[in-house]
Amino acid sequence: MPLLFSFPSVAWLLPAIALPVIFHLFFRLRRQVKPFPSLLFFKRIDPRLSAKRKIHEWLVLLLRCLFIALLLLALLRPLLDVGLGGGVARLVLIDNSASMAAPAREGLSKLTLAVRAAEKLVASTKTGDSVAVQLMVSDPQAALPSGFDADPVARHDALEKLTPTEGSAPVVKALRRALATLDAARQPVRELHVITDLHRLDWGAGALEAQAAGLHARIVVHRLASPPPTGGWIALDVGQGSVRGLPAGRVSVAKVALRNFGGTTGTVKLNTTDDGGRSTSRDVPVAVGAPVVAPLTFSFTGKGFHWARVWIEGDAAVAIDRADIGFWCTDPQKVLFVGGAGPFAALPFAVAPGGDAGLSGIEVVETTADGLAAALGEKPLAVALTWEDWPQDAAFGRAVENYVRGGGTLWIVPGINPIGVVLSPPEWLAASVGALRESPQGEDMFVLQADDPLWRELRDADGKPKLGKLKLFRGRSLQTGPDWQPLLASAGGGPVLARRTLEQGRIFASGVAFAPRWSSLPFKPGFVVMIQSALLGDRSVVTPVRLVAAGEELRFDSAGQTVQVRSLAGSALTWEGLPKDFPGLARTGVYEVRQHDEVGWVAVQTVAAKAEQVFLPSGPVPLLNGVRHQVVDLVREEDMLRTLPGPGEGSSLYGPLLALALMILLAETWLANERGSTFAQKLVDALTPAVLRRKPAAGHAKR
Amino acid sequence: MASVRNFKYLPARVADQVRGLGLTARRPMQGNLQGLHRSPDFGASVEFAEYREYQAGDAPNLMDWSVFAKTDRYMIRRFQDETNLRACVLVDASGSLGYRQTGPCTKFEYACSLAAGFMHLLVTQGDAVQLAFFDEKLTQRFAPVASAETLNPILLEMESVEPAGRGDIGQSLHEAAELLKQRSMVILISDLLQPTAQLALGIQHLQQRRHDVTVFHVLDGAEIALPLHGLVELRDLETGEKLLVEADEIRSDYTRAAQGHLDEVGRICSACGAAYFTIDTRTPMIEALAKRAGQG
Repeated sequence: MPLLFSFPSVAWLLPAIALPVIFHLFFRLRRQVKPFPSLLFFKRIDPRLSAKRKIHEWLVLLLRCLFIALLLLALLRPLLDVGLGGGVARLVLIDNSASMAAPAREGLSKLTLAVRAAEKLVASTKTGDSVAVQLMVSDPQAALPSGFDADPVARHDALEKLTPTEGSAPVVKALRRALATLDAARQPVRELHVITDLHRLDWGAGALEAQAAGLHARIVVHRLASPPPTGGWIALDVGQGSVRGLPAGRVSVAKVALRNFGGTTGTVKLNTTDDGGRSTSRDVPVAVGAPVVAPLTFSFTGKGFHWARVWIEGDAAVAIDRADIGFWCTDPQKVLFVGGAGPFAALPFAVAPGGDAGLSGIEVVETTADGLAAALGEKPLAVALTWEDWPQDAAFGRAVENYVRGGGTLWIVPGINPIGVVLSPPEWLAASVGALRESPQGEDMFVLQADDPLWRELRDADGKPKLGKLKLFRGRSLQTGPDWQPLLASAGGGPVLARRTLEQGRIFASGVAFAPRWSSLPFKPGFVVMIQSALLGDRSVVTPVRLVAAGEELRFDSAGQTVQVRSLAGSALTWEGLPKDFPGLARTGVYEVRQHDEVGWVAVQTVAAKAEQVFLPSGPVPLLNGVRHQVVDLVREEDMLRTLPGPGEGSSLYGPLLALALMILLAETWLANERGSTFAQKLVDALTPAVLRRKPAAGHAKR
Repeated sequence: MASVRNFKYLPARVADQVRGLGLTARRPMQGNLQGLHRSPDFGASVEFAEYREYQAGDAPNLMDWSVFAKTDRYMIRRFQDETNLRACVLVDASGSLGYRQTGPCTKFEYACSLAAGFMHLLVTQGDAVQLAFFDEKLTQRFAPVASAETLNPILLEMESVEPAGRGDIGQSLHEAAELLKQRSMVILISDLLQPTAQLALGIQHLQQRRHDVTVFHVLDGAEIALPLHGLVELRDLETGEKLLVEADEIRSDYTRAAQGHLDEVGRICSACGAAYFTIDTRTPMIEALAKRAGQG
């Protein structure tokens, strides 16, 4: 098993092993020569004494040489190579998440310090060692070669240009990938050096699996300290998830949350721009603590994908201040009012507040029962009928049923005329209304199923629908089957508004007309919002637009088909490959994702939670429980080398060699002292006060 | 008569102290002059020796008339003769004598001081003394002197002698034995760092020539105690040979070997009838001198 030496330069001192021999041959004898009258009596003594003494001397000499040799060998810091190869494999895992953009010291960002530390470690690589550098957040723009056989020049160039990403770090995934890389290294001694700020968002949850824990690698977490921000430290947050389809031209409101994680109130400039070239900018003061919600309005005329960019500036925070939003616009939608808009009272107004599609993107279309079948062919957004005008024609009924089952929305409400005769609805509807019931003083109405998506846009801070005090003056009792979901009810007459899902479509049945004489609901500001939500809000229309956070893993429809990704706005990126090789989107921007014939869009925003100044303290990392690791503070890049080489998995011979050298020294001291060597006596004399020293024998003084 | 000059090896103060001592030979000496030492011949001293029948030619005044009155025989009373002696001081000047570790001076300096003391003592009591230095052989001999005036040049000359070279005590003693024609007092001052067998032969040779041999074994305290520590490389002062030793480890064995050598030399001297004294260089010279003087 060959030995690996961490400090081979100490080998220059190896000639020092010969020092005892030199002293023995040239130094000591000159001092000890004494004249004597005759050697007559010495020769009469057993001559073997001299030989014995010489053996003893050479033994002491051998021990001294051995001591120096072992001491030097220990200083060489040898590592026992238990494998077939030699050297140490070191992998440096750099945390390049958004929080690493924050300053560490002297104006340097934490990432800059991490890169310099990594460069130090790479520069300390010795012959037989190999080193690799990986990023915790995959960054295709960094173009960092990550293997042990990477070109050093390319790696150096990539590290020089490395910039922080705007996402959070998938720590477990990155560690797993790094350990797998180390596992493939040919060197028997392996070390994983993680340079990170230990942000709690990334490191506070998850655990490295046992399989990785069983890997024979020494893990060192170099913790970068994070000084608290001095001024405003404001993060931008917009929602995530799928984007609902919007009628083109409809004004869309995006609520942006601004939260200050700094020490003082800050004012930021909130900027927007969109693909139509429209830009806005305004100042928003943000106090420390509670978030400030700022609504932003966007409107796009053409159908298809649209995007907008939002960013803030004016505070100290970086890499957490951008968001890209994607929109999916459809053609203006139509709502068919069978029998005209009049019987529906305020419902048409709530559908199209401006009288046309200018505000809502929804157009009110009046039709007759006869023309309904043809109009349904254009797939309107919704169809509104009155209980009184329900056609008894079977073909009509089937057309409506097919429309609903195919994903349409059907509204059935009482006509505004109270004396109308309610016709019997078809059986598939499973709902009907009873006789008209008057209540001049008004019955209280209340919301049922407060968590229903219908009320999503109406909830207050407590999560309750905010419709105010509702009164019912006139209405028909609503009888529904078990599939119906009551949404509004009166105190005395049971449910007055219910919803049912029929395959892909929905049916809203109301026992009250949306007229002032029937209830106070049309007077409420939330009435329009409620109707708009009923028409568009909870529709499960799949759009090809996703809003994700930077660094979030993207899912693709097919794992075996090539994916093409290119950026439309924000960070420049053009990538093509299999989904499993996709590094992810580490920075904000708008990206077009094309796989086979399918095209989708991804809008990426920063991770606002990374702005929070919460970091794990120095000490064991919970995520690495069960894995042997050490956490060391990294203040300067030179600190990186202090952990090299460490006691790697018991293969270091430093301790045993030092102990052996000590034993040899003790043996030499005992042997030399026991046999009357002056070395030990001189040592004792040097340490003993003069008055206590042994007096020389009488007459021993030199002449 | 008294020396007033300060010599390196015989300061005036020491010379005065030496003068108070008396040194006599342990054996009858043959001298030319009347002296303090017992002679093998009969003479005119007060010490009775024997009676002998009167023979023609004997002086009539030597006849003991009291014996004639009692025994009616002519007997002559005879007395021991007393004469001066000739002494020879042999000083080892080999390289090993240049060692000094625990004492105030080198072994050679101590040996020279001791030799000077002996010579001064002998000439002051009317004896003749000669000095010789040796290493592998006798290297420098001085003519016998019998007065302080003639001794002074020798004392002065001694100061210029430096210990050097290999030593061979046995061979040097053989050479001295051959050179000394007259029965003499031989004072050997050396560190005796030589195998005892060769040493014994040399002393025996002197004894066979009826010399009165006195051996002063001069040692530095470190030669026995070996007060060294740790690993040391020793260099032989005579041969230049080097040896790496662990002092603490071999100290006891070394001391045992050195002490054994001393005992062996003492036993040899005793067997040969030679006076043997072990002298540490830290011992005052006058004390070492008194040891021998007290044995007379």
